[in-house]
Amino acid sequence: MKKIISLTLFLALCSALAGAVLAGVNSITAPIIEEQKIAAVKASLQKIFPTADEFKEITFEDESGFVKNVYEATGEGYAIKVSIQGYKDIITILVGFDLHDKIVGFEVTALNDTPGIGTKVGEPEFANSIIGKPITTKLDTISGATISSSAAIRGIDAAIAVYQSLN
Amino acid sequence: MKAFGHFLLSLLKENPVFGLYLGICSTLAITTSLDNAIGMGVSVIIILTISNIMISSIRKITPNEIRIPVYIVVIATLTKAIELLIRAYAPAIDVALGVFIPLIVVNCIILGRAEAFASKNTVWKSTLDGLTMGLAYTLSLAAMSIIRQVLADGILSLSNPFTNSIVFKINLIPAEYRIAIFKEPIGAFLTFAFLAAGVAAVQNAHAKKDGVK
Amino acid sequence: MAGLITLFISNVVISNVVLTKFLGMCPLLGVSRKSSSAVGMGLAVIFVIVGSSIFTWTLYYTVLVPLGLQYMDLITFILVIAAFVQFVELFLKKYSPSLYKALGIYLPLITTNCVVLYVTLDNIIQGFDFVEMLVYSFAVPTGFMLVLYIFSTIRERLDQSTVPAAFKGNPIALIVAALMAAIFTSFVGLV
Repeated sequence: MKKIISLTLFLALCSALAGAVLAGVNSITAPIIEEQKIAAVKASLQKIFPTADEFKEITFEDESGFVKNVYEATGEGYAIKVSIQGYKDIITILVGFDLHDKIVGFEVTALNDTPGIGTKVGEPEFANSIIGKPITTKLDTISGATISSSAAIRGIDAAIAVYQSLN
Repeated sequence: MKAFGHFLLSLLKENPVFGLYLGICSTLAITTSLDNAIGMGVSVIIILTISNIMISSIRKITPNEIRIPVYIVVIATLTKAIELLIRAYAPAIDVALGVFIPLIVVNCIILGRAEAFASKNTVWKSTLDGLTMGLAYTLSLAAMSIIRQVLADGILSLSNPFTNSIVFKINLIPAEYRIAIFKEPIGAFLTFAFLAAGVAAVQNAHAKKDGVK
Repeated sequence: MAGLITLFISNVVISNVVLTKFLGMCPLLGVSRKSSSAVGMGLAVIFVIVGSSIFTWTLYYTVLVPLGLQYMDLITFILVIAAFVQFVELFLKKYSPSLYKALGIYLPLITTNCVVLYVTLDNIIQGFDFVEMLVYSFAVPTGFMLVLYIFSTIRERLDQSTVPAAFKGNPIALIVAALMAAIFTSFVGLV
């Protein structure tokens, strides 16, 4: 019995020391990591809303599970980030909406798909078929890249649903 | 000079990755570029060496029954610390290596060396062991990455993860001759298989030589 | 419900943990020589992963997050896994000594099996709720067991054929893995 107690104490001591070391490292690195997270998205947000000078991340309700973040561009609209399984890998898209039910931005931030086929989702042609359209438009898939583009459209629909709940 | 040749030979014969098949999960997964290989390799060198040092220093006071959980706590702490530091100061590597950074804690090489060497040897010897094993691992990763990256992307490149600047970039194979599948799982397995067979051939040749003597 | 079924199927065959994420290679090369031990190993891994996932997921959201100790996740998760494997070892030793013997050194090695830690970490990274976590932690090791089993049947045949000396054993097994990876990519688009 005494043995088990001493063994447990030794392990607990090791874990406590480990915790202290990590708490130290964490306190140094955490603020830097926070800064980077916002900086990473800020570039894409600024592209969609070039005149906005303030972006805030806000809470939201989403049933689909695809919507990961919602950012408000104060006074101008919302940018909604969706992640959805494409043909090979997850496609991450930032969809921008103004305050009048119009899609004003479409940025693909992560796409790891078949070059020349799935990657068409990231090309300007597809984006241009979406930007400027009202949210009620029925969007077309890209022929030959049906799986990736219909995934992207499902993501956009989820973004639209969340947008409607906000506006 | 002979000692260096001897070192190279043992690098091949007792290669932890292609000879002993340790740490293969990360080898197959991340060796799509030289940057990844070096990022992972250096991380493992740091964790392995410090882990060896720490485990060797406490080897006389660690109760035998709980030595494995104690090693795990040490290695996990080091791994998490490295993960946080990479995420803060070299985010490009964090994105590239992803979940394989925390998975370093279950890299068989580290726990293996802790149990087989550091727990039974002096701190100085354990430090050297960590450095050599880590270096052997890094070189193996680099070999595989160079093959895969050159065949699939046609370029040999290296960038500085702290500043995101390119150190060098050499175009070796024109676009039409590149073999994209080397970026895929099938390419990873094939490259590994051939490198492992190469190491096995060297081992066989030497076993025969020693046998004939 | 449909989402859960998709989650299950896609993780068993499409994003198979061994052939697309390269995890679980050590037991793949080590245990896969006989199909009976492959199945036993697979079931043991499923049990460890589901059990550890439930414990670690609960621990993360009820203790680590409220206390702001997320950075302790790696240490606590791996210790939970080690304890669980120890428990399984004792259990098998008592109730199934033949399986215990057959698995040998590979049973405690489940602790360092990348797949186990990967699933516990991924449950958090993907932000799964409790049910999704259960489905995922069942699906991933099932895919692992599937590959392990197919692999062992192929290897049983391979061991009886002539193979160039340098490729004997593991290198030829890796070539088989390469072919399996290529074949499994045909599952993409299934769901």
